[in-house]
Amino acid sequence: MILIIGAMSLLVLTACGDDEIEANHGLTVVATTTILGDLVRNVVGADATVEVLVPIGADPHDYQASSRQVAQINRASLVVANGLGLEEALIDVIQAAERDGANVLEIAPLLDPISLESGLDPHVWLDPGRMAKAARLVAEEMAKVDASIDWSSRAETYAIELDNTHREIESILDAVPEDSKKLVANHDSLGYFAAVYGFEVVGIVIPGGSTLGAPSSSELAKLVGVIEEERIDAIFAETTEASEVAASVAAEVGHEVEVVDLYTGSLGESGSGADTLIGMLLINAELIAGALG
Amino acid sequence: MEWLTEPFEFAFQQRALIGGSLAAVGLALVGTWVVIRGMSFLGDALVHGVVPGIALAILLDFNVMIGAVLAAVVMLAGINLVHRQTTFSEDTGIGLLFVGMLGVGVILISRTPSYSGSLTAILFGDVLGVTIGDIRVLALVVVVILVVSVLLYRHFLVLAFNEQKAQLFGFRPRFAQAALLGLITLGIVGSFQTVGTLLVLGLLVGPPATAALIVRRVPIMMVTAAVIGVMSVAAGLIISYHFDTAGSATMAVVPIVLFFVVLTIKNVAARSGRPATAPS
Repeated sequence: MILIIGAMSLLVLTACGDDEIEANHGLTVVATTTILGDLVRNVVGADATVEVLVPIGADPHDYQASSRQVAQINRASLVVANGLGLEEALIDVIQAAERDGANVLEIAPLLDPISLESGLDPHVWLDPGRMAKAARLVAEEMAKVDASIDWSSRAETYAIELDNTHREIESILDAVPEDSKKLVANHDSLGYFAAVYGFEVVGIVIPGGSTLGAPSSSELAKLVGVIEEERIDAIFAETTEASEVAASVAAEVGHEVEVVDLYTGSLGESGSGADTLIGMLLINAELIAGALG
Repeated sequence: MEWLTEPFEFAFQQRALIGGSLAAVGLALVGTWVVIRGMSFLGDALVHGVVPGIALAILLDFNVMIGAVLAAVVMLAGINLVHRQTTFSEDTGIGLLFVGMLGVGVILISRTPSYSGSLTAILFGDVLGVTIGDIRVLALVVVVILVVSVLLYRHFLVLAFNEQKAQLFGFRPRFAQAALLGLITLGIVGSFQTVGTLLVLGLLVGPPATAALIVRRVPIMMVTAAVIGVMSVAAGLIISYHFDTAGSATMAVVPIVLFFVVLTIKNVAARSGRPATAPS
Protein backbone atom coordinates (compact mmCIF):
# COMPACT_ATOMS: atom_id res chain seq x y z
CA MET A 1 0.00 0.00 0.00
CA ILE A 2 2.77 2.39 0.95
CA LEU A 3 4.60 1.63 -2.25
CA ILE A 4 1.48 2.25 -4.27
CA ILE A 5 0.86 5.56 -2.58
CA GLY A 6 4.49 6.49 -3.02
CA ALA A 7 4.31 5.72 -6.69
CA MET A 8 1.07 7.65 -7.00
CA SER A 9 2.44 10.78 -5.41
CA LEU A 10 5.34 10.47 -7.79
CA LEU A 11 3.00 10.55 -10.74
CA VAL A 12 1.08 13.51 -9.45
CA LEU A 13 2.30 16.39 -11.53
CA THR A 14 0.14 19.44 -11.42
CA ALA A 15 -0.57 21.15 -14.64
CA CYS A 16 -0.99 24.70 -13.39
CA GLY A 17 0.86 27.44 -15.20
CA ASP A 18 4.37 28.06 -13.93
CA ASP A 19 4.52 31.76 -14.45
CA GLU A 20 1.13 32.81 -13.16
CA ILE A 21 2.49 34.01 -9.84
CA GLU A 22 5.38 35.90 -11.32
CA ALA A 23 3.06 37.57 -13.84
CA ASN A 24 0.56 38.73 -11.23
CA HIS A 25 1.90 41.51 -9.06
CA GLY A 26 -1.21 41.56 -6.92
CA LEU A 27 -2.33 39.22 -4.19
CA THR A 28 -2.24 35.45 -4.30
CA VAL A 29 -4.32 32.97 -2.36
CA VAL A 30 -3.40 29.29 -2.19
CA ALA A 31 -6.24 26.82 -1.57
CA THR A 32 -5.52 23.18 -0.79
CA THR A 33 -8.53 21.59 -2.56
CA THR A 34 -10.35 22.38 -5.80
CA ILE A 35 -13.49 22.97 -3.73
CA LEU A 36 -11.89 25.59 -1.52
CA GLY A 37 -10.25 27.04 -4.64
CA ASP A 38 -13.68 27.66 -6.18
CA LEU A 39 -14.98 29.22 -2.97
CA VAL A 40 -11.96 31.53 -2.73
CA ARG A 41 -12.27 32.53 -6.41
CA ASN A 42 -15.85 33.58 -5.74
CA VAL A 43 -14.70 35.80 -2.87
CA VAL A 44 -11.58 37.36 -4.42
CA GLY A 45 -12.78 37.66 -8.03
CA ALA A 46 -10.08 39.24 -10.19
CA ASP A 47 -8.40 40.97 -7.24
CA ALA A 48 -6.17 38.02 -6.42
CA THR A 49 -4.67 35.00 -8.17
CA VAL A 50 -5.91 31.69 -6.80
CA GLU A 51 -3.63 28.64 -6.82
CA VAL A 52 -4.98 25.18 -5.98
CA LEU A 53 -2.63 22.47 -4.64
CA VAL A 54 -4.53 19.18 -5.03
CA PRO A 55 -5.53 18.69 -8.69
CA ILE A 56 -9.03 17.77 -9.91
CA GLY A 57 -9.92 14.14 -9.23
CA ALA A 58 -7.07 13.56 -6.75
CA ASP A 59 -7.76 12.50 -3.17
CA PRO A 60 -6.86 15.27 -0.70
CA HIS A 61 -6.22 12.62 1.98
CA ASP A 62 -2.93 11.46 0.42
CA TYR A 63 -1.73 14.20 -1.93
CA GLN A 64 1.92 15.27 -1.56
CA ALA A 65 3.08 18.70 -2.61
CA SER A 66 5.96 19.67 -4.86
CA SER A 67 8.60 22.05 -3.68
CA ARG A 68 7.24 24.67 -6.09
CA GLN A 69 3.86 24.43 -4.40
CA VAL A 70 5.40 24.78 -0.95
CA ALA A 71 7.11 27.91 -2.27
CA GLN A 72 3.67 29.17 -3.36
CA ILE A 73 2.36 28.49 0.15
CA ASN A 74 5.20 30.52 1.63
CA ARG A 75 4.72 33.43 -0.78
CA ALA A 76 0.91 33.59 -0.71
CA SER A 77 -1.01 36.43 0.91
CA LEU A 78 -3.32 33.80 2.37
CA VAL A 79 -3.41 29.99 2.45
CA VAL A 80 -6.88 28.47 2.80
CA ALA A 81 -6.77 24.88 4.06
CA ASN A 82 -9.64 22.65 5.08
CA GLY A 83 -7.93 21.30 8.21
CA LEU A 84 -9.24 18.69 10.69
CA GLY A 85 -6.74 16.26 9.17
CA LEU A 86 -8.20 16.23 5.65
CA GLU A 87 -4.94 17.08 3.91
CA GLU A 88 -3.08 14.30 5.73
CA ALA A 89 0.05 14.28 3.61
CA LEU A 90 0.24 18.12 3.49
CA ILE A 91 0.02 18.71 7.25
CA ASP A 92 3.79 18.77 7.83
CA VAL A 93 4.37 21.16 4.98
CA ILE A 94 1.57 23.57 5.92
CA GLN A 95 2.55 23.60 9.59
CA ALA A 96 6.19 24.29 8.69
CA ALA A 97 5.08 27.13 6.39
CA GLU A 98 2.95 28.57 9.19
CA ARG A 99 5.96 28.57 11.51
CA ASP A 100 7.90 30.38 8.76
CA GLY A 101 5.27 33.10 8.85
CA ALA A 102 2.77 31.98 6.18
CA ASN A 103 -0.77 33.24 6.72
CA VAL A 104 -2.82 30.03 7.04
CA LEU A 105 -6.60 29.89 7.51
CA GLU A 106 -7.85 26.42 8.46
CA ILE A 107 -11.51 26.73 7.67
CA ALA A 108 -13.24 23.53 8.87
CA PRO A 109 -12.52 23.97 12.62
CA LEU A 110 -14.28 27.37 12.47
CA LEU A 111 -17.49 25.96 10.96
CA ASP A 112 -18.99 24.17 13.96
CA PRO A 113 -17.71 20.73 12.90
CA ILE A 114 -19.69 17.57 13.62
CA SER A 115 -18.21 15.06 16.05
CA LEU A 116 -17.72 11.49 14.84
CA GLU A 117 -16.44 8.49 16.80
CA SER A 118 -13.07 9.03 15.18
CA GLY A 119 -12.86 12.78 15.84
CA LEU A 120 -14.20 15.89 14.12
CA ASP A 121 -15.52 15.35 10.59
CA PRO A 122 -13.51 17.40 8.04
CA HIS A 123 -15.98 17.08 5.12
CA VAL A 124 -17.68 20.43 5.82
CA TRP A 125 -18.03 21.49 2.18
CA LEU A 126 -21.09 19.31 1.54
CA ASP A 127 -23.15 21.79 3.62
CA PRO A 128 -23.81 25.00 1.63
CA GLY A 129 -24.69 26.86 4.84
CA ARG A 130 -21.27 26.19 6.35
CA MET A 131 -19.60 27.13 3.06
CA ALA A 132 -21.45 30.47 3.08
CA LYS A 133 -19.89 31.11 6.47
CA ALA A 134 -16.54 29.98 5.08
CA ALA A 135 -16.81 32.58 2.28
CA ARG A 136 -17.38 35.31 4.88
CA LEU A 137 -14.37 34.08 6.89
CA VAL A 138 -12.15 34.21 3.80
CA ALA A 139 -13.38 37.76 3.13
CA GLU A 140 -12.52 38.77 6.71
CA GLU A 141 -9.00 37.35 6.34
CA MET A 142 -8.51 39.06 2.99
CA ALA A 143 -9.60 42.35 4.55
CA LYS A 144 -6.71 41.99 7.00
CA VAL A 145 -4.36 41.49 4.05
CA ASP A 146 -5.66 44.40 1.97
CA ALA A 147 -8.42 46.57 3.42
CA SER A 148 -8.69 48.73 0.29
CA ILE A 149 -10.66 46.09 -1.61
CA ASP A 150 -14.31 45.30 -0.83
CA TRP A 151 -14.12 41.55 -0.25
CA SER A 152 -17.21 41.25 1.91
CA SER A 153 -19.84 42.27 -0.65
CA ARG A 154 -18.64 39.57 -3.05
CA ALA A 155 -18.64 37.08 -0.18
CA GLU A 156 -22.23 38.12 0.66
CA THR A 157 -23.32 37.66 -2.96
CA TYR A 158 -21.77 34.21 -2.99
CA ALA A 159 -23.31 33.36 0.39
CA ILE A 160 -26.74 34.23 -1.02
CA GLU A 161 -26.07 31.98 -4.04
CA LEU A 162 -25.14 29.17 -1.66
CA ASP A 163 -28.30 29.81 0.32
CA ASN A 164 -30.36 29.52 -2.88
CA THR A 165 -28.44 26.33 -3.69
CA HIS A 166 -29.41 24.98 -0.29
CA ARG A 167 -33.10 25.53 -1.02
CA GLU A 168 -32.72 24.06 -4.48
CA ILE A 169 -31.11 20.94 -2.98
CA GLU A 170 -34.01 20.65 -0.53
CA SER A 171 -36.52 20.69 -3.37
CA ILE A 172 -34.46 18.16 -5.39
CA LEU A 173 -34.40 15.87 -2.35
CA ASP A 174 -38.21 16.15 -1.95
CA ALA A 175 -38.26 13.25 -4.41
CA VAL A 176 -36.80 10.98 -1.71
CA PRO A 177 -39.46 9.44 0.55
CA GLU A 178 -38.88 9.96 4.31
CA ASP A 179 -38.23 6.27 4.99
CA SER A 180 -35.63 6.04 2.19
CA LYS A 181 -33.44 8.77 3.67
CA LYS A 182 -30.71 6.31 4.60
CA LEU A 183 -27.18 6.50 3.22
CA VAL A 184 -24.44 3.92 2.78
CA ALA A 185 -21.20 5.64 1.83
CA ASN A 186 -17.79 4.46 0.63
CA HIS A 187 -15.96 6.43 3.31
CA ASP A 188 -17.34 8.57 6.07
CA SER A 189 -17.75 11.76 4.02
CA LEU A 190 -21.49 12.40 3.98
CA GLY A 191 -21.99 13.38 7.64
CA TYR A 192 -22.78 17.06 6.97
CA PHE A 193 -25.05 16.31 4.05
CA ALA A 194 -26.97 13.82 6.20
CA ALA A 195 -27.24 16.19 9.16
CA VAL A 196 -28.46 19.13 7.08
CA TYR A 197 -30.94 17.27 4.86
CA GLY A 198 -32.37 14.83 7.40
CA PHE A 199 -30.63 11.68 6.18
CA GLU A 200 -29.10 8.96 8.32
CA VAL A 201 -25.72 7.39 7.51
CA VAL A 202 -26.42 3.70 8.25
CA GLY A 203 -23.25 2.14 6.82
CA ILE A 204 -19.66 2.89 5.78
CA VAL A 205 -17.55 0.66 3.52
CA ILE A 206 -14.06 1.94 4.44
CA PRO A 207 -13.58 2.36 8.21
CA GLY A 208 -11.37 4.70 10.20
CA GLY A 209 -12.23 8.07 8.68
CA SER A 210 -9.29 8.24 6.31
CA THR A 211 -9.48 6.80 2.78
CA LEU A 212 -6.35 4.79 3.68
CA GLY A 213 -8.04 2.21 5.92
CA ALA A 214 -9.25 -1.21 4.84
CA PRO A 215 -12.46 -2.95 5.96
CA SER A 216 -12.63 -6.31 7.74
CA SER A 217 -14.75 -9.08 6.25
CA SER A 218 -17.04 -9.11 9.31
CA GLU A 219 -17.61 -5.37 8.86
CA LEU A 220 -18.52 -5.97 5.22
CA ALA A 221 -20.81 -8.87 6.14
CA LYS A 222 -22.53 -6.65 8.70
CA LEU A 223 -22.84 -3.94 6.08
CA VAL A 224 -24.46 -6.35 3.62
CA GLY A 225 -26.91 -7.28 6.40
CA VAL A 226 -27.75 -3.63 7.09
CA ILE A 227 -28.32 -2.90 3.40
CA GLU A 228 -30.64 -5.91 3.04
CA GLU A 229 -32.54 -5.21 6.24
CA GLU A 230 -33.07 -1.53 5.47
CA ARG A 231 -33.80 -2.26 1.78
CA ILE A 232 -31.22 0.34 0.69
CA ASP A 233 -30.98 0.82 -3.08
CA ALA A 234 -27.62 2.57 -3.49
CA ILE A 235 -24.07 2.81 -2.14
CA PHE A 236 -22.51 6.22 -2.60
CA ALA A 237 -18.88 5.99 -3.69
CA GLU A 238 -16.67 8.88 -4.76
CA THR A 239 -15.01 10.12 -7.91
CA THR A 240 -11.59 10.31 -6.21
CA GLU A 241 -11.55 6.70 -5.04
CA ALA A 242 -11.69 3.26 -6.59
CA SER A 243 -14.97 1.61 -5.57
CA GLU A 244 -14.29 -2.12 -6.08
CA VAL A 245 -15.12 -2.95 -2.47
CA ALA A 246 -18.36 -0.98 -2.67
CA ALA A 247 -19.19 -2.82 -5.91
CA SER A 248 -18.57 -6.22 -4.37
CA VAL A 249 -20.73 -5.30 -1.36
CA ALA A 250 -23.45 -4.26 -3.80
CA ALA A 251 -23.11 -7.57 -5.67
CA GLU A 252 -23.40 -9.50 -2.39
CA VAL A 253 -26.74 -7.97 -1.44
CA GLY A 254 -29.87 -9.93 -2.38
CA HIS A 255 -31.66 -7.07 -4.10
CA GLU A 256 -30.45 -4.71 -6.82
CA VAL A 257 -28.02 -2.11 -5.41
CA GLU A 258 -26.55 0.66 -7.49
CA VAL A 259 -23.04 2.10 -6.83
CA VAL A 260 -23.25 5.85 -7.46
CA ASP A 261 -20.10 8.00 -7.72
CA LEU A 262 -20.59 11.32 -5.92
CA TYR A 263 -18.27 14.29 -6.10
CA THR A 264 -16.93 14.37 -2.55
CA GLY A 265 -13.18 15.01 -2.34
CA SER A 266 -12.71 17.06 -5.48
CA LEU A 267 -14.67 19.07 -8.04
CA GLY A 268 -15.32 17.45 -11.41
CA GLU A 269 -13.54 18.17 -14.70
CA SER A 270 -14.70 21.29 -16.53
CA GLY A 271 -17.80 20.44 -18.53
CA SER A 272 -18.94 17.83 -16.00
CA GLY A 273 -21.28 20.37 -14.41
CA ALA A 274 -19.55 19.67 -11.10
CA ASP A 275 -16.68 22.04 -11.86
CA THR A 276 -17.89 24.54 -9.26
CA LEU A 277 -18.87 23.98 -5.62
CA ILE A 278 -22.49 24.93 -6.34
CA GLY A 279 -22.64 22.71 -9.45
CA MET A 280 -21.12 19.84 -7.50
CA LEU A 281 -23.61 20.15 -4.63
CA LEU A 282 -26.56 20.21 -7.06
CA ILE A 283 -25.28 17.22 -9.06
CA ASN A 284 -24.71 15.24 -5.87
CA ALA A 285 -28.26 16.05 -4.74
CA GLU A 286 -29.67 14.93 -8.09
CA LEU A 287 -27.61 11.71 -8.02
CA ILE A 288 -28.82 10.95 -4.50
CA ALA A 289 -32.44 11.79 -5.35
CA GLY A 290 -32.20 9.70 -8.51
CA ALA A 291 -30.85 6.68 -6.64
CA LEU A 292 -33.12 6.79 -3.61
CA GLY A 293 -36.21 8.53 -5.01
CA MET B 1 23.20 29.66 -11.91
CA GLU B 2 20.14 31.46 -10.59
CA TRP B 3 18.14 28.46 -11.75
CA LEU B 4 20.10 26.40 -9.20
CA THR B 5 20.05 28.87 -6.31
CA GLU B 6 16.52 30.30 -6.62
CA PRO B 7 14.83 27.25 -5.00
CA PHE B 8 16.98 27.65 -1.90
CA GLU B 9 15.85 31.19 -1.14
CA PHE B 10 13.06 29.66 0.93
CA ALA B 11 13.61 28.61 4.52
CA PHE B 12 11.69 25.35 3.98
CA GLN B 13 13.98 24.42 1.08
CA GLN B 14 17.07 25.12 3.17
CA ARG B 15 15.72 22.94 5.98
CA ALA B 16 14.80 20.24 3.47
CA LEU B 17 18.35 20.40 2.07
CA ILE B 18 19.92 20.13 5.54
CA GLY B 19 17.53 17.42 6.77
CA GLY B 20 17.75 15.47 3.52
CA SER B 21 21.55 15.75 3.45
CA LEU B 22 21.89 14.52 7.03
CA ALA B 23 19.68 11.55 6.20
CA ALA B 24 21.72 10.96 3.04
CA VAL B 25 24.99 10.87 5.02
CA GLY B 26 23.65 8.56 7.74
CA LEU B 27 22.02 6.24 5.22
CA ALA B 28 25.13 6.23 3.00
CA LEU B 29 27.20 4.94 5.93
CA VAL B 30 24.85 2.07 6.77
CA GLY B 31 23.71 1.61 3.17
CA THR B 32 27.24 0.80 2.03
CA TRP B 33 27.21 -2.28 4.29
CA VAL B 34 23.67 -3.07 3.13
CA VAL B 35 24.86 -3.14 -0.49
CA ILE B 36 28.14 -4.97 0.18
CA ARG B 37 26.47 -7.64 2.29
CA GLY B 38 23.46 -8.00 -0.04
CA MET B 39 20.93 -6.87 2.59
CA SER B 40 18.83 -4.53 0.43
CA PHE B 41 15.73 -6.65 0.78
CA LEU B 42 16.14 -6.59 4.56
CA GLY B 43 16.44 -2.79 4.36
CA ASP B 44 13.22 -2.52 2.32
CA ALA B 45 11.48 -4.87 4.69
CA LEU B 46 12.61 -2.92 7.75
CA VAL B 47 11.32 0.36 6.36
CA HIS B 48 7.86 -1.17 5.93
CA GLY B 49 8.10 -3.43 8.95
CA VAL B 50 8.14 -0.51 11.38
CA VAL B 51 4.62 0.52 10.30
CA PRO B 52 2.75 -1.50 12.98
CA GLY B 53 5.03 -0.09 15.67
CA ILE B 54 4.20 3.44 14.60
CA ALA B 55 0.48 2.70 14.36
CA LEU B 56 0.57 1.14 17.83
CA ALA B 57 2.48 4.12 19.23
CA ILE B 58 -0.23 6.46 17.92
CA LEU B 59 -3.08 4.24 19.14
CA LEU B 60 -1.59 3.91 22.64
CA ASP B 61 -0.06 7.37 22.64
CA PHE B 62 3.66 6.75 23.17
CA ASN B 63 6.74 7.94 21.29
CA VAL B 64 6.65 6.76 17.64
CA MET B 65 10.41 6.31 17.54
CA ILE B 66 10.12 3.75 20.38
CA GLY B 67 7.25 2.05 18.54
CA ALA B 68 9.33 1.84 15.37
CA VAL B 69 12.33 0.39 17.23
CA LEU B 70 10.09 -2.18 18.96
CA ALA B 71 8.64 -3.28 15.62
CA ALA B 72 12.13 -3.52 14.10
CA VAL B 73 13.32 -5.68 17.00
CA VAL B 74 10.30 -8.00 16.66
CA MET B 75 10.92 -8.22 12.93
CA LEU B 76 14.65 -8.96 13.22
CA ALA B 77 13.99 -11.56 15.94
CA GLY B 78 11.40 -13.23 13.68
CA ILE B 79 13.77 -13.29 10.70
CA ASN B 80 16.53 -14.69 12.90
CA LEU B 81 14.17 -17.39 14.22
CA VAL B 82 13.22 -18.52 10.70
CA HIS B 83 16.86 -18.48 9.66
CA ARG B 84 18.00 -20.62 12.61
CA GLN B 85 15.18 -23.12 12.86
CA THR B 86 14.59 -23.86 9.18
CA THR B 87 16.73 -24.63 6.16
CA PHE B 88 15.17 -21.77 4.18
CA SER B 89 17.44 -19.04 2.89
CA GLU B 90 17.27 -15.75 4.74
CA ASP B 91 15.04 -14.00 2.21
CA THR B 92 12.16 -16.36 3.01
CA GLY B 93 12.16 -15.18 6.62
CA ILE B 94 12.41 -11.56 5.49
CA GLY B 95 9.52 -12.07 3.06
CA LEU B 96 7.35 -13.64 5.77
CA LEU B 97 8.02 -10.89 8.28
CA PHE B 98 7.78 -8.08 5.67
CA VAL B 99 4.25 -9.04 4.69
CA GLY B 100 3.27 -10.01 8.25
CA MET B 101 4.37 -6.73 9.77
CA LEU B 102 2.93 -4.58 6.98
CA GLY B 103 -0.36 -6.48 7.24
CA VAL B 104 -0.54 -5.92 10.99
CA GLY B 105 0.27 -2.28 10.29
CA VAL B 106 -2.69 -1.88 7.91
CA ILE B 107 -4.98 -3.66 10.41
CA LEU B 108 -3.93 -1.17 13.08
CA ILE B 109 -4.25 1.79 10.70
CA SER B 110 -7.82 0.74 9.94
CA ARG B 111 -8.52 0.82 13.68
CA THR B 112 -6.92 4.22 14.18
CA PRO B 113 -9.20 7.25 14.44
CA SER B 114 -7.27 8.89 11.68
CA TYR B 115 -8.84 12.30 11.36
CA SER B 116 -5.91 13.35 13.51
CA GLY B 117 -4.00 12.67 10.31
CA SER B 118 -0.85 12.08 12.31
CA LEU B 119 -0.24 8.51 11.16
CA THR B 120 -0.14 9.35 7.48
CA ALA B 121 1.96 12.42 8.14
CA ILE B 122 4.51 10.27 9.96
CA LEU B 123 4.51 7.38 7.50
CA PHE B 124 4.85 9.61 4.49
CA GLY B 125 6.76 12.26 6.43
CA ASP B 126 7.53 15.00 3.98
CA VAL B 127 11.04 16.37 3.72
CA LEU B 128 9.50 19.70 2.63
CA GLY B 129 7.96 19.96 6.10
CA VAL B 130 11.13 19.28 8.14
CA THR B 131 11.47 21.30 11.35
CA ILE B 132 14.57 22.50 13.19
CA GLY B 133 13.74 19.96 15.94
CA ASP B 134 13.71 17.14 13.34
CA ILE B 135 17.11 18.30 12.10
CA ARG B 136 18.56 18.18 15.63
CA VAL B 137 17.36 14.59 16.15
CA LEU B 138 18.67 13.59 12.76
CA ALA B 139 22.07 15.20 13.43
CA LEU B 140 22.34 13.20 16.65
CA VAL B 141 21.45 10.00 14.79
CA VAL B 142 24.11 10.68 12.15
CA VAL B 143 26.77 11.36 14.81
CA VAL B 144 25.95 8.05 16.54
CA ILE B 145 26.09 6.18 13.22
CA LEU B 146 29.40 7.82 12.36
CA VAL B 147 31.00 7.00 15.73
CA VAL B 148 29.81 3.37 15.74
CA SER B 149 30.83 2.93 12.10
CA VAL B 150 34.37 4.07 12.88
CA LEU B 151 34.68 2.10 16.15
CA LEU B 152 33.39 -1.16 14.66
CA TYR B 153 34.75 -0.66 11.16
CA ARG B 154 37.12 -3.64 11.25
CA HIS B 155 34.42 -5.89 12.73
CA PHE B 156 32.02 -4.99 9.93
CA LEU B 157 34.73 -5.39 7.30
CA VAL B 158 35.66 -8.90 8.44
CA LEU B 159 31.97 -9.77 8.69
CA ALA B 160 31.38 -8.58 5.14
CA PHE B 161 34.30 -10.24 3.43
CA ASN B 162 35.29 -13.20 5.54
CA GLU B 163 32.52 -14.18 7.92
CA GLN B 164 33.78 -17.77 8.34
CA LYS B 165 37.24 -16.74 9.42
CA ALA B 166 36.06 -13.88 11.59
CA GLN B 167 36.07 -16.04 14.69
CA LEU B 168 39.62 -17.25 14.06
CA PHE B 169 40.82 -13.68 13.85
CA GLY B 170 39.36 -13.04 17.30
CA PHE B 171 36.29 -11.15 16.10
CA ARG B 172 32.83 -12.00 17.28
CA PRO B 173 30.69 -12.21 14.13
CA ARG B 174 27.39 -12.49 16.02
CA PHE B 175 28.16 -9.34 17.95
CA ALA B 176 29.20 -7.56 14.74
CA GLN B 177 26.06 -8.78 12.97
CA ALA B 178 23.82 -7.56 15.79
CA ALA B 179 25.62 -4.21 15.91
CA LEU B 180 25.27 -3.79 12.15
CA LEU B 181 21.54 -4.61 12.23
CA GLY B 182 21.15 -2.15 15.10
CA LEU B 183 22.93 0.52 13.11
CA ILE B 184 20.80 -0.09 10.00
CA THR B 185 17.67 0.09 12.15
CA LEU B 186 18.88 3.34 13.71
CA GLY B 187 19.56 4.82 10.27
CA ILE B 188 16.09 3.91 9.02
CA VAL B 189 14.09 4.74 12.14
CA GLY B 190 16.05 7.92 12.76
CA SER B 191 15.38 9.35 9.34
CA PHE B 192 12.05 8.03 8.03
CA GLN B 193 9.95 10.28 10.24
CA THR B 194 11.75 13.31 8.88
CA VAL B 195 12.16 12.47 5.23
CA GLY B 196 9.48 9.81 4.64
CA THR B 197 9.72 6.08 3.96
CA LEU B 198 10.14 6.46 0.23
CA LEU B 199 13.18 8.73 0.49
CA VAL B 200 14.77 6.46 3.11
CA LEU B 201 14.52 3.56 0.67
CA GLY B 202 15.94 5.68 -2.14
CA LEU B 203 18.89 6.92 -0.09
CA LEU B 204 19.68 3.62 1.65
CA VAL B 205 20.42 1.61 -1.48
CA GLY B 206 20.71 4.05 -4.41
CA PRO B 207 23.82 6.09 -3.55
CA PRO B 208 25.88 3.19 -2.06
CA ALA B 209 25.07 0.99 -5.07
CA THR B 210 26.12 3.78 -7.42
CA ALA B 211 29.31 4.33 -5.38
CA ALA B 212 30.07 0.61 -5.51
CA LEU B 213 30.08 0.84 -9.31
CA ILE B 214 32.90 3.36 -9.34
CA VAL B 215 35.08 2.79 -6.26
CA ARG B 216 36.28 -0.31 -4.41
CA ARG B 217 37.56 0.58 -0.94
CA VAL B 218 34.82 0.67 1.68
CA PRO B 219 35.63 4.04 3.32
CA ILE B 220 35.88 5.72 -0.09
CA MET B 221 32.62 4.03 -1.07
CA MET B 222 30.96 5.52 2.01
CA VAL B 223 32.23 9.01 1.26
CA THR B 224 31.24 8.72 -2.41
CA ALA B 225 27.79 7.41 -1.44
CA ALA B 226 27.35 10.29 0.99
CA VAL B 227 28.33 12.82 -1.68
CA ILE B 228 25.97 11.20 -4.21
CA GLY B 229 23.17 11.15 -1.61
CA VAL B 230 23.59 14.83 -0.74
CA MET B 231 23.75 15.78 -4.42
CA SER B 232 20.62 13.72 -5.10
CA VAL B 233 18.77 15.57 -2.35
CA ALA B 234 19.85 18.94 -3.74
CA ALA B 235 19.05 17.93 -7.33
CA GLY B 236 15.68 16.52 -6.26
CA LEU B 237 14.77 19.78 -4.52
CA ILE B 238 15.73 21.82 -7.58
CA ILE B 239 13.79 19.53 -9.94
CA SER B 240 10.75 19.49 -7.65
CA TYR B 241 10.83 23.28 -7.55
CA HIS B 242 11.18 23.91 -11.27
CA PHE B 243 9.13 21.03 -12.63
CA ASP B 244 6.46 20.92 -9.93
CA THR B 245 6.92 17.26 -8.98
CA ALA B 246 6.16 15.69 -5.58
CA GLY B 247 9.16 16.61 -3.40
CA SER B 248 10.26 13.55 -1.40
CA ALA B 249 9.46 11.22 -4.30
CA THR B 250 11.60 13.21 -6.72
CA MET B 251 14.55 13.10 -4.34
CA ALA B 252 14.10 9.34 -4.00
CA VAL B 253 14.11 8.81 -7.77
CA VAL B 254 17.25 10.87 -8.51
CA PRO B 255 19.82 8.41 -7.03
CA ILE B 256 18.11 5.51 -8.81
CA VAL B 257 18.31 7.28 -12.17
CA LEU B 258 21.90 8.21 -11.37
CA PHE B 259 22.71 4.53 -10.76
CA PHE B 260 21.59 3.56 -14.25
CA VAL B 261 23.36 6.52 -15.82
CA VAL B 262 26.63 5.56 -14.12
CA LEU B 263 26.11 1.92 -15.07
CA THR B 264 25.58 2.85 -18.73
CA ILE B 265 28.60 5.15 -18.82
CA LYS B 266 30.70 2.44 -17.22
CA ASN B 267 29.59 -0.13 -19.78
CA VAL B 268 30.17 2.17 -22.71
CA ALA B 269 33.61 3.12 -21.36
CA ALA B 270 34.51 -0.51 -20.81
CA ARG B 271 33.47 -1.43 -24.32
CA SER B 272 35.32 1.42 -26.03
CA GLY B 273 38.35 0.79 -23.80
CA ARG B 274 38.59 -2.86 -24.89
CA PRO B 275 37.69 -2.85 -28.56
CA ALA B 276 39.80 -5.93 -29.27
CA THR B 277 37.88 -8.37 -27.09
CA ALA B 278 35.95 -9.81 -30.01
CA PRO B 279 37.38 -13.16 -31.13
CA SER B 280 39.44 -12.80 -34.28
